[in-house]
Amino acid sequence: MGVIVESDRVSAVLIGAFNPSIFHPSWLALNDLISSESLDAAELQVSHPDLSRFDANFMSFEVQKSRVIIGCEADKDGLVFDMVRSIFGELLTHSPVWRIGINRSFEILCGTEEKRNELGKRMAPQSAWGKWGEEIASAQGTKHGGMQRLTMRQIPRHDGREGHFQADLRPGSSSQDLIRLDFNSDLVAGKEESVEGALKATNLIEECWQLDLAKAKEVSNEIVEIIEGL
Amino acid sequence: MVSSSAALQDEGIYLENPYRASPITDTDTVPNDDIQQGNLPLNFLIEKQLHFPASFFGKANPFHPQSSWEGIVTSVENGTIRARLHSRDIANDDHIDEVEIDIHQVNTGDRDLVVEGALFYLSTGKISIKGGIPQPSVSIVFRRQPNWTKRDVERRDSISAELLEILHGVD
Repeated sequence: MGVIVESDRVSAVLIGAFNPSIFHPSWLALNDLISSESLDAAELQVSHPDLSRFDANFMSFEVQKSRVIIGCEADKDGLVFDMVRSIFGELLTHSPVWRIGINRSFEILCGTEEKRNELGKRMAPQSAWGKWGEEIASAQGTKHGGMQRLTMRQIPRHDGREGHFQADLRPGSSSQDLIRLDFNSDLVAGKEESVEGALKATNLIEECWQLDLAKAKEVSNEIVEIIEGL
Repeated sequence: MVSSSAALQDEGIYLENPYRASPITDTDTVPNDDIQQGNLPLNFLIEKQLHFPASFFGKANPFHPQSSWEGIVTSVENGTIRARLHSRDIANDDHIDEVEIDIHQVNTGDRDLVVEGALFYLSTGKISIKGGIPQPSVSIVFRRQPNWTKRDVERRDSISAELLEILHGVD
């Protein structure tokens, strides 16, 4: 079996001070950010002063007092890009946002469990752990240990901006050959105590969105190539 | 071209019982497995795959895209949208497809967005219908881009000024 990219999602995360109560499908429709049809189809999960969570127009929304997450499938990433710019560049420009994340998550089927195991050994060689690594490697049977989570971080960022670019690799649970690969482009828009509004954050989104998502794709392609070569 | 599916959609058949009407019978000669990018012309895919209203997609009936394109509307005339599409697959990044899409394929709530220059996403894939077999489907979603702000205008002017300086420098 070949390698299959099972899922590819993107999200924008804004860290700041927000009011979850106003984030509701009706509010989006009222401001012409989704159509009335999409409003009718929206799936509201939680609407509470501390948390709002719903799906609308192919996007998922989660808003807490200190965090906003808007995500969708990567093939429609412009929907999230437009939504963030509309909400924080036009409607809630005074909401303080001091940090943002541009994220992309892949679920990749390696083809076989053996290939997944090999990838784990390649990324985190058990021999590097000395005698304990030998014990882990010598396990017999279907149950065995190995790499559970690997985080690789780039600082300074590829574009020199304040923040970091990071990849997180771990095995998935729904299938024996599944891995999850999560990329996080972390960007600093200001200091919590002094940031004014969301202007810097929306500027960063505009400048970095496409490049950072493309970089995540580029790195994921290399991981796929590694798996194919195992 | 999609009049039959559009009419069915307007009648709400898909919403009530999407797998009852079997409106894809006119493509019986095309096995579902062959409906994927590369095997068939894109226009054919758009015409022949089922179009479900946006309200149909969701957790109950998840859509699994197989091929995706980003499009720009080049003209709208007599209910026909002409557009240029480029694949979102990096391997086919330079390839541009010219397509025609019946405006009835666009959800009614998005039709006011259909103007020359509008950007949209088109995906072909399969929709998993609860209690039914997965159906080949097409999803068309128009982008709702924010209006230009004063800041955008200032940035445009700044970039234009820089370009002008470069051009004058060439002289």
